[in-house]
Amino acid sequence: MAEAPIIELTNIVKSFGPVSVLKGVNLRAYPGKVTALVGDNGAGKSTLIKGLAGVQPYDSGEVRFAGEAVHLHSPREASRLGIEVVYQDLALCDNLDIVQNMFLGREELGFGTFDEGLMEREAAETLRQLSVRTVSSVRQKVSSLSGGQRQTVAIARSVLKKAKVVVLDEPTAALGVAQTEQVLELVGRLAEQGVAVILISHNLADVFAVADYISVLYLGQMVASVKAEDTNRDDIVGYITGSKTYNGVQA
Amino acid sequence: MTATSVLAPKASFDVRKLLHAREAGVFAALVLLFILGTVLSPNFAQSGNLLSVGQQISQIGIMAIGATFVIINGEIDLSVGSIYALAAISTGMAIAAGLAWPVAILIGLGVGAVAGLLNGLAVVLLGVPSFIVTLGSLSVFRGITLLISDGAPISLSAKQPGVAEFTLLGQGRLFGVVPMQLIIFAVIAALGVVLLSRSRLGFNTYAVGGNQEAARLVGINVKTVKLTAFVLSGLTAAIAGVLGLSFLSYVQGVTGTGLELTVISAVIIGGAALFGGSGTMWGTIIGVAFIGLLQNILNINGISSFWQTVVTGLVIVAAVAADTWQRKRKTRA
Repeated sequence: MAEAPIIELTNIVKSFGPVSVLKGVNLRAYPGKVTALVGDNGAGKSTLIKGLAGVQPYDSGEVRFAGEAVHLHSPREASRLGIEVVYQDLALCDNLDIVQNMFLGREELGFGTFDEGLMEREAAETLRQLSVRTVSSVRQKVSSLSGGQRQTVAIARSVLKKAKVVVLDEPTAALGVAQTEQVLELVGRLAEQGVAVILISHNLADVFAVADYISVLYLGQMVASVKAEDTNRDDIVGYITGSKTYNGVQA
Repeated sequence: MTATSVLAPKASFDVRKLLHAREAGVFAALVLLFILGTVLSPNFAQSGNLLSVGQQISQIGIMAIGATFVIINGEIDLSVGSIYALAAISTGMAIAAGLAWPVAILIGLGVGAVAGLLNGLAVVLLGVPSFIVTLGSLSVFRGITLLISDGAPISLSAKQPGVAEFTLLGQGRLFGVVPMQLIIFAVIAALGVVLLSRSRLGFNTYAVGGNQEAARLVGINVKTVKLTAFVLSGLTAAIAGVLGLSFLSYVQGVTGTGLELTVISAVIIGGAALFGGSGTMWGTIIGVAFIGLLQNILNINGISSFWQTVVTGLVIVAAVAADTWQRKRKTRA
């Protein structure tokens, strides 16, 4: 591997009571690359991601960020390192507009007053960087946006935060064909900006369209981590369902 | 869905906020009410009458400022009427015991803040819905008020040193014209406006009220935001209670019973939604003024106070109905 991974999970274990959800999982993500994380329902994808976000800390295992061991115990710690998760249910506030949602939870908002004009300019600039052309005004309430637009806002928020690692949890699950295409383009642009993208998806067409690497979780274990160009749909389906075992070198 | 305007600089945030449909609606209603009052009675638009309305709404107004934070959080505080009495009795007993009045006031405000903190802690730590918590504490705080005063009223004697200065807060008039209470309300309202619309706390309050889970996931400390709201609610109720004591030089254990409903009504008329996430401080101030003017108009036209209760109730339902209708129309458009 030419480039060093920005995030490296080693031997991650997580149980809920007697239920062991992650049984020693390894995962790497590289700057400027899209790593797809696939697996059937209950394979442990969400648990793995929640640990990375600091929402549900892992029981044991090592997390290295840019080569250094780190601990992720709260969303704020993860956020400080530059790890952002775009959740499936999007975690946007419907009652706020696009600018406000993009600045949600930001430390820059001091205890005193803050500059709405500056916030508005930065939000617009970020959307422009991502070539977003689907929203008419950054002062639109999020409740009035379509699914694809909401996804765009959520992704743009992580860019605005200068995230180094962005995890996308099923970003296209609820979208139509055209909107899916737009979001996948956005995922590509995100990686072009040097961000390490971890994409969770059930849709293998989406995965093969944008992913550089594919990691497959099966019943709490990482059964394959491969370069997308070295594999194919049938193999991946085999790993996901457990009907095939990966014998090659783990990418 | 065109993109051109994304990058175009917009008019300042404030201007659009002022034109915000919901507030504009309440403000228009307030203006109509004012015109109605002027037509019905020549005494209405006199500065003396309007200043006395200002005096009458001050205590409700101060409490409504705190309640706005709680309601935008998606919570409710039913205990403010009891905290009002508890703070007034505490301050009254401290003065009667011979403590200096500023110290007595601090005791009253401290009691209110602690009462609010307890409400908040029960909500965020025990996870009990705030309606239930404050329904309980409404009763608990009222009971404590009656217990510590032994059910007996407290009258401040004007002969006691310091009492004259203390009563100036509630009875005094700046330059002999503007009621002190109204000035205190204005100062607290100004602080409330800045805190809610210009501070990180305010920003986070809208986020928590809009989508608590989203707020938590982006790293907002939801518990702190809610605790702060309940403390502000308790504190403002205590300020109002102290002013009430100062105004009347008198307080008893049952003082302020039912105040919470007037306070919540003012906030709701002002456009805040009970399920949280929406509403503004200006809306609340307009709502408070609306209730004050309405009662005054009914008063000076000699309409029975029983009718006032009926009308206030109808106005609340009408205000929310108008809001719902407006929202529906907007989503259809």
